[in-house]
Amino acid sequence: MKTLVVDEKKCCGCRICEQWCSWTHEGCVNPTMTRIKVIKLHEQYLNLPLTCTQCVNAPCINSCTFGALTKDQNTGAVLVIEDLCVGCRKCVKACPNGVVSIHKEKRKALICDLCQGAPKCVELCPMGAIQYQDVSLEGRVQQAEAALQITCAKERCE
Amino acid sequence: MHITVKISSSILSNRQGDCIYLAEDSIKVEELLQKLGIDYREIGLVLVDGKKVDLSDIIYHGNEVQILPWFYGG
Amino acid sequence: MEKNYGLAGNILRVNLTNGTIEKEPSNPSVFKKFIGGRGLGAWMLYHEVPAKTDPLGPDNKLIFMAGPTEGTITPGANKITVTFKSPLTNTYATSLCGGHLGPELKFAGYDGVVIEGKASEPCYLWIDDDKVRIMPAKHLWGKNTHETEDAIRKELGDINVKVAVIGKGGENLVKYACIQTDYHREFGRQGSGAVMGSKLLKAIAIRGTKSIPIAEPEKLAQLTLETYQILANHPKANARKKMGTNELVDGINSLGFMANKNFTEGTSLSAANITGAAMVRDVVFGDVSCYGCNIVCGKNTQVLSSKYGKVRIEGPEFETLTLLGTNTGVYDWEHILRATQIFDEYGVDTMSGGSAVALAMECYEKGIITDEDTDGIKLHFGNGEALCQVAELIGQRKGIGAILADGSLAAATKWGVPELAMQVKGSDFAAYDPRGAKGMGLTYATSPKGAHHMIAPTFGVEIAQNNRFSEEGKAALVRETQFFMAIVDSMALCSSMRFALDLGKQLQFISAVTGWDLNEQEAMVIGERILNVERMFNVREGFSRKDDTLPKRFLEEPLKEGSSQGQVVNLEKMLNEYYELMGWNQEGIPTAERLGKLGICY
Repeated sequence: MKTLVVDEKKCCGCRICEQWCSWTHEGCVNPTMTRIKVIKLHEQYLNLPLTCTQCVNAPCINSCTFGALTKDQNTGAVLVIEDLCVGCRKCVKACPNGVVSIHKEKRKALICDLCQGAPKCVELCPMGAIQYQDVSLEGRVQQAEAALQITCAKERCE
Repeated sequence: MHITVKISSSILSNRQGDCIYLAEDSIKVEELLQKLGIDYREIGLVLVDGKKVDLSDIIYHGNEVQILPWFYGG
Repeated sequence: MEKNYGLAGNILRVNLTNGTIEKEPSNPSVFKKFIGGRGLGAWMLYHEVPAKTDPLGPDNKLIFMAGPTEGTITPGANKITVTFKSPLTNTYATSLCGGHLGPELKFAGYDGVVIEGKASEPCYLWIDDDKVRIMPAKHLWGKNTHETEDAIRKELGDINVKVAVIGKGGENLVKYACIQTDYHREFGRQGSGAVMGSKLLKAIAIRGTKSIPIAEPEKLAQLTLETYQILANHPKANARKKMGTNELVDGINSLGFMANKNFTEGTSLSAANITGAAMVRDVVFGDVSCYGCNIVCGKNTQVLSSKYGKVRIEGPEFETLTLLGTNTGVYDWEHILRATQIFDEYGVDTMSGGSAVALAMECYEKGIITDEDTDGIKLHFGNGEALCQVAELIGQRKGIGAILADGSLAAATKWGVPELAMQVKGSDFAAYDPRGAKGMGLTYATSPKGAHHMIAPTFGVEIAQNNRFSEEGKAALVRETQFFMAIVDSMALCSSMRFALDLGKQLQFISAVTGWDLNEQEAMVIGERILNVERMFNVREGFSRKDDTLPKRFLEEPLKEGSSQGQVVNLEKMLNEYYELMGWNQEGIPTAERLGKLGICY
């Protein structure tokens, strides 16, 4: 099973992911209709892409009392059944990653659907900051970073 | 037999900095760029001993070649 | 009614004197005549700000204008222009800023914002879609740029609000103060920040939630994807992605026409310390891009253990690095980064700032000013610490900074050596010494806002044609490049998009977004129209041929060494030819006939 993985150090904040997320799903560029959101943290000199992480036992699905959210069995994406969604926003509050929002015209939940297994954000990111990779590879980046930090610390000790 | 090649550090393809190219007697500018792995689209100007040359011109042993990028300004 | 594709629909007009806020519908037929951005801004300023208006008085205006392709997926369509009468030059002025401000303005439903009048006490403008309010800003007055941005985002409770601010430089009416957004993106030149400060407007905050209607979405998507591909595989774009605009350093320096020590030298061996490659090696820690651009030329840089502690900024760009660095003889990252940071925090243009310090250094070395004038600061070329000290004084308008804050020309005139100020009409030069590319000499001399390189950056073509030392044919080259750049700026496209988009391609984007059918010839007429409107604004202020000149240094003093050794600019010949090609008289004034053909009445 694949999920979206973000390396925020690589993100340059161009928001091409936001543009195309909104464009492919809604047919327009709108900063409020994107399911991926890049937050600029000025003081840290960081751009942080917030994406759905396709949680197992997803808090958004659990929070929905109308049965409007389900899991796509093939991709693991959270799907919104718009006929059932009442726009109560419980899922917005439940999401640990802050990536659920409400479509301002339809008043229905906006959640990443992984573009049916071919995420546009991954395809068009100029920095390779968003990867669509198998969960079994999760943590490899952090491993490498930790390893480097440990060796640096060792060098300092010597 | 050699040709001295000065490559501006703004040129990205493959290599930067100055180098000595060991050549036969002579080589076409185009071929030299190819052998150095430099994309012609990066090139604004090639000077041989200070004079502008075309891609089809020939360079000889002992020449000094200067490769400058295309400038857009910024 | 026909939909106005590409337009957000309204232009916002805010009068700070009486607090009125009005929305005027955007007129598509005027947009078609000027495209948007710089062109439309020039047209409005020409009509709305009469001759002899005090640039720092309530009658001057700040006209912010976006372009028709902005707020869409068009790559690099993220620039916003501000047009105003400059306090530095007393001419027409326009300045561009990238980042995310322009798109946000269009998402909020506006193609432009016109700021008029003067507030009675410090305020900021809060544009929240249709709700527009003038907010109190007494508590923000006196804060630096970064603090102000953070405070406003906090106050409004939304980290995604885009904020354009002035710092103490703008408050203190430093004549080349800038307006800043996202910490390090600036409306840099000619003093828009001072105009904003004179109106007691501390900031403009924007939040938008709308979208822009597109005429042919499928065509636009296809063009955009093609452009991404071209740029991803374009070696020049890749050089920019890796090193930012500083990829230029090595080439310009080795060709011997890079500003060194107030333009007394055209090249320096020390520049090897600060090439693009050296920057990546020594100080870069991250990449930054403006909205919707996959070139990614912005570089986050840091010096972790300088004598100023940790210095962290975005930049410096090529022009900052040269004007603030090489031009003052400073060739190390520690001081260049710190000086850039100081100017950024005060909200002051790093180019004019650097140029002013370089002037002071030359005067100090020549004994024209002494320790008495500098309060003991040893203003030798290459003294990085002194550079940082004076940068701070300029922002505060204290000591020698008070003199330099009025611009290099004013300072040099006060010291009795106006010829040592490297400026045209009061605006300081960019890094390219015109002696090393003669077309640039004509560009600087005829630029409608005083010396500025991006009005017509011809040196690339001049170098490629290997005729950079010749005056022959440069008038035509400069004229055409001026028209072309006017179109790029009016589309609100970043000039880096020229890597992938020639005029034809740009027009395809305009057509896909707006449905307008413009051919290249018609577009060049628009470019010419814009140049003439800008010219007429200056003519009305009394500018003419006598002002289209260069400092004596470029006309009479040959470069002493390097690849451009022995060169001076022969300007008069190029000027004659240029005026003739433009259909202007030999005083540089557009003829009624030419203006009539361009549809400009005056």
